[in-house]
Amino acid sequence: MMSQTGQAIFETQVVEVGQEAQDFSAIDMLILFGQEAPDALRSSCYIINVKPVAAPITTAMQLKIDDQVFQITAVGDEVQRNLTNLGHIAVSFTGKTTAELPGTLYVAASNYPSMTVGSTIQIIA
Amino acid sequence: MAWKSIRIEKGTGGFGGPLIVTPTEQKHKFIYVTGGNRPAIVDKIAKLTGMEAVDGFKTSIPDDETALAVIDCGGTLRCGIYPKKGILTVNVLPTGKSGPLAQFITPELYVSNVDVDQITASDGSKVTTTDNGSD
Repeated sequence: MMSQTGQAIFETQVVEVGQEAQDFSAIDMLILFGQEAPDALRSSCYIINVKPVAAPITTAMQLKIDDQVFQITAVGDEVQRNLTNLGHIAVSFTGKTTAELPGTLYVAASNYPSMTVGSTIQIIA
Repeated sequence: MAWKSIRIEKGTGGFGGPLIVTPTEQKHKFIYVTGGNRPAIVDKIAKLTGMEAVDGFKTSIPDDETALAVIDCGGTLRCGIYPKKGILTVNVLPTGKSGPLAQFITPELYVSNVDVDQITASDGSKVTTTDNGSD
């Protein structure tokens, strides 16, 4: 159904898992934030290394978390900027095709991924 | 003391407010937690109020000493976390009552789509009901 995975335009690793990060699974969402995340936000987030984003993120791409691949279905207007500057986006596993929240990346509804320290997150063109 | 109050209204298409921010002996610093460039409103708020602006990514200050949080949040986390803590929150983006923490985003604590024109000196009273912003 999907094209074979190609080149990664973004790749990072989870370096810390906030105490309440998993709570957002109740609404099929997870939140990423770069290492600089203030204390007030850290507990809600999966903390990642901030890495460059090599190309504009589109719905033709896939999000890959470890070995799990999710088709991107909508890209909020702030996703590119926030991921680049802060390492901060939310990922919604709802398959919505319109981006209701500007800072959120929407991907196909699927099994909610289990992320731990060392998990790899990629965006594949 | 030299601190002064300000009034912050929502910009066109924004949500919430107006907020009156009155610095006190305990709360006379504000944080900005924004990506990329420091928003122009940070400097205006510092100038009008006399408060110290603190980069929230570099320095943390206790919640009960935080007079205000300036954010550029696209609707998920920052726009809800700071109001949840009871901290007055100003979003430079037009984000409304949205996201997983939407219940905490209230007009008493939160105002959005704020640029320099939405920030004015105030006498600190909350009776100013002449809302020039559009609804």
